[in-house]
Amino acid sequence: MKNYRKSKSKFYILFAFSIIYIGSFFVWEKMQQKLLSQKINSIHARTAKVEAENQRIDMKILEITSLNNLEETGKKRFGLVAPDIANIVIIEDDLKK
Amino acid sequence: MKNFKTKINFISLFVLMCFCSIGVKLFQVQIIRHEFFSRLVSLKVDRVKKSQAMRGIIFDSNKRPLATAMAVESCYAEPKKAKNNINIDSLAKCLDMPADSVAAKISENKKSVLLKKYLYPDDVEKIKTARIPRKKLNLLQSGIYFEKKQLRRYPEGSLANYVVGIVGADNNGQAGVECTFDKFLTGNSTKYITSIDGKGRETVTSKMSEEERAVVLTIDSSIQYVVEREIKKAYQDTNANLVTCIVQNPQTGEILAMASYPSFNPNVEHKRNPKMFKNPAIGNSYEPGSVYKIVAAATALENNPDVYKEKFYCEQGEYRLSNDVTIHDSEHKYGSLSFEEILAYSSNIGFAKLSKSIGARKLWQYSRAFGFGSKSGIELPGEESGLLKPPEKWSGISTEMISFGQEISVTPLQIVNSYSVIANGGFLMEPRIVKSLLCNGIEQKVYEPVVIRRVISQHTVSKLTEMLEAVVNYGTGDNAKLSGIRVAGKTGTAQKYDSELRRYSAKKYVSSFVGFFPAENPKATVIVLVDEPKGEYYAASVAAPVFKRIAGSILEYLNVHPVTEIASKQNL
Repeated sequence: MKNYRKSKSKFYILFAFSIIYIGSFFVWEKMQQKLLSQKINSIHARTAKVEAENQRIDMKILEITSLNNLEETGKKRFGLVAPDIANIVIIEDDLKK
Repeated sequence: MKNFKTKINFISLFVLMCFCSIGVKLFQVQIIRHEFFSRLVSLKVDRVKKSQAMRGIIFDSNKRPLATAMAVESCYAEPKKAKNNINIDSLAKCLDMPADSVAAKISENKKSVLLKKYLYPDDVEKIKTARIPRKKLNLLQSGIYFEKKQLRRYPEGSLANYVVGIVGADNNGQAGVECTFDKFLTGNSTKYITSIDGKGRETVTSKMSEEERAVVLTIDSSIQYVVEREIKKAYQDTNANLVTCIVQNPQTGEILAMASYPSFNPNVEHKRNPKMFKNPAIGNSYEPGSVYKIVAAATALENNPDVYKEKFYCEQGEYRLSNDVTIHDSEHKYGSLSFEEILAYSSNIGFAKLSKSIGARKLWQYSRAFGFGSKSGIELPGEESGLLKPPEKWSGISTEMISFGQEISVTPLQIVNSYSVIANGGFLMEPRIVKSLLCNGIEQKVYEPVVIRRVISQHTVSKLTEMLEAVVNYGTGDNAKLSGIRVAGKTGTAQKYDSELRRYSAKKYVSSFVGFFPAENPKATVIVLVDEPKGEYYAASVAAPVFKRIAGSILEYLNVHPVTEIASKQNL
């Protein structure tokens, strides 16, 4: 009878600890989930920032390689002239094809 | 001892009861009233936000971007909060603005003021990291906040601006393709949920990926660039009011280039003139003059193929149509001319006499069949249909006048499309400016060439092509001649109607040249229109040389070589 009582109280204590443990685990897991989503969020924010910066650089490249800019650069820096119909040169390879 | 055990049991029971009550409460909160509490939490913590997709890209036919969107931010201040909480000097330095201007904005009696728009991410970062709040406050608490915006940029500047169009301050399309395809380019807005924790940090819990949309035009940037360069030069040389040019692929109806000068730079906001958004190539109608003569010629050939052999006496340059209307053949006094020669030398008298054998109704029917008097159906806003009255409303001399391009108004697009009928073997094509619509890089809709109707027979096409080649070879279009390339075209110098004087002006002209090349297998139909050139005004010396330069560059770009040069190289 005495042993039965002892084991019963042990069971209660174990049960109480299990509940506390499961509860704590649940709270810890929720915290981890929150922290992780915050991390993901900050990575998203950084990605968005990098993407925006990338867009800006792409735009600069497009503006630099725009036809107008290329012609201006060709004329000013390299002294090129716009080709005329009279300047067409037929290359032999083209004729063979 | 017994007493001690009773105490222990009592305490155990008490602890058990405590756990039980906690368990009951948890059961009630988590299971029975779960929905109520979750709703309460989401009301306080969760926020539903809207994310607008980036406005779609507009590409040329070679996928070169003509319009793109960028994510930027605008900086705002709440004057009430910001007045005492921020360091104006450091904020002004970050915004690259004078401190006085920032101070003036912050002292305004408004709930919120815009400090600077279109800030790039690194500018925003600079502001966020600078010591702008005076006290231990964050930027938002000190009254400075940012709003995400989209900035529409046109990397090629003014290239194809009338076709691409522009957007307003709210990013809504106001002209061109930006306007026609506004709904498609705007895309869908996506809703997503964010949770905010105790420290005010935001966590996105669910978000849909946004669609990337694009419109692919039929415009070829390289051809468009050459056209814009040449019409700008023509505008400066002739001191004209306006110069317009359209290049069309006659086989498919695709518009390869469409430009007018003067134009505007869509990237410069403060210099925008609302009147300039109207595309002159489709929105301005004018009396075409001699370029319209092909309609009368085509009608005559369709009704009587033997008209080709007839001779027309051109009255030595002066011919009276009625008591008060006399027509002239510019500065020339022609006698008897063949059917081909009346077109080659552009004799108004010859065509007035030809029109008598055609009749009003036939001329009207063929004018309609060529697409005059109705909109072409191009995917651009603001297209005009021109003016072609029904024959019942024509006066006694209308048939003669219309045969050489007066008493009728047309758009440059209608003219170029009608010449494409001859270039492609007799079919009226629907002019197209959009090739396809893309969604995440996949073609969602492809715009195929549309044949509206067959207008003229192959026999008429061959005869008209020969006649138009004659115009360039020995007629008025001599300045459009390209060595080694068969060019077919027609000049047109039309007097403008002066509404104040109520008669045709002797000082204001519209000079134009329309043609296609190579005549044996046409790759492009081109119209060059110079409105009110100062000084020299004949199309032969104003518009034809511009056509020649543009045609030369297009042929070079399309890898079409002059026949004589190839022959001489082969002989070597």
